[in-house]
Amino acid sequence: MTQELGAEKSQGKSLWVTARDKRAQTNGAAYAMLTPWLIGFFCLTAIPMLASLYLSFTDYSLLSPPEWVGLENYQYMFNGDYRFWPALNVTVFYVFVSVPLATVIALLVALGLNRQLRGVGILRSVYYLPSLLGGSVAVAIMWRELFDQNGLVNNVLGFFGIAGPAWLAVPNSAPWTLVFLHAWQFGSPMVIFLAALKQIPADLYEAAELDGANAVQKFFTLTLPLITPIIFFNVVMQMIVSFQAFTPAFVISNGTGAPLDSTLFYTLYLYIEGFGNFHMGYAAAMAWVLLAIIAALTGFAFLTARFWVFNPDD
Amino acid sequence: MTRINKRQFLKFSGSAIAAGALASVLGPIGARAAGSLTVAWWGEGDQNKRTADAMTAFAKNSGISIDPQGTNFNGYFDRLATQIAGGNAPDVFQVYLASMAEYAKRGTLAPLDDYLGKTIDTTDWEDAAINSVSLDGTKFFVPLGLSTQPAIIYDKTVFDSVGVTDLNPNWTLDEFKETCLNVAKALSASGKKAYGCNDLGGQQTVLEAFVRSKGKNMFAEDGGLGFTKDDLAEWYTLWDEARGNGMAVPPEARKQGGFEASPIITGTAPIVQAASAKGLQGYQSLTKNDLNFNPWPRYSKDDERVELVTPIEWMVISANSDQKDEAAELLNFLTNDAAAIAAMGISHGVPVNKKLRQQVMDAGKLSDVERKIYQNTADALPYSTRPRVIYPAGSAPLVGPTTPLINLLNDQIAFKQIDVKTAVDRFFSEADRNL
Amino acid sequence: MTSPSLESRTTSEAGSKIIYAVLIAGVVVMLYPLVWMFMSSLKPEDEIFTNLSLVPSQATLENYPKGWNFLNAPFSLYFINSFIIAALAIVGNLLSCSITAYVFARLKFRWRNVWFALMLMGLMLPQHVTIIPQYILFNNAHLVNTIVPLILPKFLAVDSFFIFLMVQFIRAIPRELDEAATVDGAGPFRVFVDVILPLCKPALITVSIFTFVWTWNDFFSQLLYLTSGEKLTVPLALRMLSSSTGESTSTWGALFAMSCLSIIPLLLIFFFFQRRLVEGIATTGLKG
Repeated sequence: MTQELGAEKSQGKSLWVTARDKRAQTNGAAYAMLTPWLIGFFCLTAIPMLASLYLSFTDYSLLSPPEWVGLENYQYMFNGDYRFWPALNVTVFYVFVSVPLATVIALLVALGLNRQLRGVGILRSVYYLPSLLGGSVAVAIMWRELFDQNGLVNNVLGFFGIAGPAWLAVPNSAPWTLVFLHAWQFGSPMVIFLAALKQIPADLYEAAELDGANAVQKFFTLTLPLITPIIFFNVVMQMIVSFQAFTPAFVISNGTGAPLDSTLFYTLYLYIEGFGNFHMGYAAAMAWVLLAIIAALTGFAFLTARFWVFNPDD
Repeated sequence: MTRINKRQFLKFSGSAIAAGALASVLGPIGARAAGSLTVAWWGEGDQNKRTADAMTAFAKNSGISIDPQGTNFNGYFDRLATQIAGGNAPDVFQVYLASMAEYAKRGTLAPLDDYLGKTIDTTDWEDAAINSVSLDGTKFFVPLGLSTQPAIIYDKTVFDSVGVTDLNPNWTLDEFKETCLNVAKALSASGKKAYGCNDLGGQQTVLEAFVRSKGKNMFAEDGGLGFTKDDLAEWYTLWDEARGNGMAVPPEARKQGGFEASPIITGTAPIVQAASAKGLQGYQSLTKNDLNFNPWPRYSKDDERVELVTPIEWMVISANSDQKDEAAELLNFLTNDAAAIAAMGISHGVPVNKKLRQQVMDAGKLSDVERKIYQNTADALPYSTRPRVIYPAGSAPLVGPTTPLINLLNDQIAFKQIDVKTAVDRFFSEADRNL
Repeated sequence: MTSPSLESRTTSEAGSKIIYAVLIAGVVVMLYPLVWMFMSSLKPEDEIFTNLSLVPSQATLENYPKGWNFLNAPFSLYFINSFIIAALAIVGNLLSCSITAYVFARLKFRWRNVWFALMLMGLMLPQHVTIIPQYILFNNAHLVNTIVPLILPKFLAVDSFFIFLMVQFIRAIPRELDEAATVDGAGPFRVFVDVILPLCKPALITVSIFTFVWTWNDFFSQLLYLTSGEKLTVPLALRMLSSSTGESTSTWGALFAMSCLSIIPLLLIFFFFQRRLVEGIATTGLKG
């Protein structure tokens, strides 16, 4: 017991006073305050997750009890399902393009809006407005009109002499409309950045100014490092959420993943298999494969965090 | 000491909760409370209100209360399947061609042999309705209305503008192709590129019409496919050529979306299909032009005209329902009572009851669109003599509503990713796997 | 008093003006699709998809009363239902997520990292798969067709997104403040209530905004759990107005009209809350 504490102490972490009773008290207090979460986690998260893991080894139509089939779902997924890999590919593309794009835009706009301007409240609301729309069917219709072959986007591009593609009619360009939709809805990470920027104490900036720092220096030496925990949060959460992106693909492609499965996001395919084709067991297997991928990437992100995320606790 | 006990306690209670919850989560327990009859259906536009009105009329007439669960189409089956998985399926619910066999095969439906022909009076029903109630010899399905399937719709205003007046309902496939090409040329002359018809290669009900026009069926009685690889190859080749020579809308000219993105609305092509004649309402409400029906063409000059009049939606009774008698009364009301027909209007099609249908047509209170739909069914009935085999269980990935393989393959051919032979082979091998 | 704007005092006048101009220009990009939706709601049904210009040839307000009265009850009922669910969800999330985040961020206890990892893992499984067992659980408890399955999870800190968010915010608060309170004899709970919670205002505001918006827009779970007509919420009612099969007269105009209306409460909530976001934390926090 004391050896544990000794080891932790030598890592330089600040601790409570080293006494066994204090330790037990902290454990007790922690678990007591965690009770709501523990109940929620077990009943509403862990149990359904374990149930779905079991279902992934079954053939389950939802209409009749599941039948055990062992690894058949997984085997088909990697060795016979020709729609699986395209779905995974387009999802990976979507995540690795739209997440950085949205994060950068969100940060830039948050920096711009983090000041006293006339009507800044209205500006903030306007920039957040697209995010309010969620998976609105109406938004999908608008987006399809905008990205129609003869729609506004191509008209604007034509103004600059660029011949725009047929966007949603052609498999190569269709996923880009979804990337742009995600980027357009950068309001959520932007609001989080705004909150983070507000949390930086003003006296730190005053001190930096007294030392003679200009705006750019202040940004790179003060602002940026201090908000790395939030940058980390936004990137990781957006990644987790984007891998499971469903509604944009569903409403824009009318639930079909058209054209040619180019907008068939992973979760959309999962949904089609589970609810449309009566293969819920296969859908569960797909869900767990996705979890493995996301968990691996998230774990990797946490490992790299040590190198670039500022941690005030340490 | 305290820690160990707490740990043991947590471990024990944790696993107990886990075991209990896991078991309860994998299957429903307990019976559903009796009471009013839960009825679920889908609809859009005025379909929901009209069906709800029919339910209200029934409740008033019979004294049986109804708990209505009308919703829109997207999500209806998600919710229904979840309810069935959870053990609280509605007493009565609506099904359609793409998945009804699946529901029957999995034991979720109550056999209606004791009700159809007795409580549910079928004496005045159209043959097309009577022929649609069984699967594998057991009766399950109560049709709500009739319609042609598919419905080929053309824009009369556009056709008039290029001098082609009323299409001939007895036309052949060759005449169809020619008309489309002529219209396409005439329309494109004025500047904006247009085509004759929409790309129908991926539409399962139009393929069915094609197959039927050759004297075959979509599915055989034994649950397998009712047509050959050659038939499918002919079908895909027909549309491959059509996209190439300007007859049909090529993939780059498509507009993504539902029926609101259809070429008949955007002005790209004046012939499209709808899943049923009721689809005329959707199209007509979005355009000022005059839209009309024309049947799918005969295969050749030597072949008969073949059409299909069929129910589009059926109601079924849940196997777990403890109010099957009341449910049967409701179903009898919906199909045979004039008040029900008055409430529902055309929302589920033309009445299955011949007498009631005649009454409505004679009363002359139909709107323009409704009259066209009634007329369309009346015109098609004499040619719809061969009953159709209900799409079997396992057909959902092939010809079902969500990304059917037939459509995917058509698109792959359209985008030059695979050739017709590969597509046909793939379709048949998937059919082997699923059916 | 609002905290001094930290950037604008030292950015040059010209720099400020440029930034302002760019932001104003960006407004067009942000709003154009919504302007399109609003203008479409003013067109008659047979013009929406045939007349591609922004301006209707015969503007009409008919879609608004049509959409409002289209379902069995006036649309206001759905606004109220959605509002109740969203408000309760906010309360639940604020209470449960803040305390859970505090424990993860500040307290060292056995298996903390394991629980944290499991908490994040819960986010990684798509909802479509876990909702079936959850539904069965709630159904066995006879709670289907109530709002309990939509609200109860919020009080049990099921939204790991907000827990993680608050963890990141709490970790930015200097530990000296905690220790000062502990030295005065406060236990972990008191530290949470007296020290941490007041300093988390921006994060709590953010949690409130997001909870409101996401609950307001959440379609799938509301579809599964709410079946009675009078319990319908805004997303469900909007979907009832969408025309996907074409098997009846279409109601796109009414959908656009009601979609426009349903943005207004969200916008008002956001506008109201974001003003509180402007109030940053006090500068030298040791005085609390």
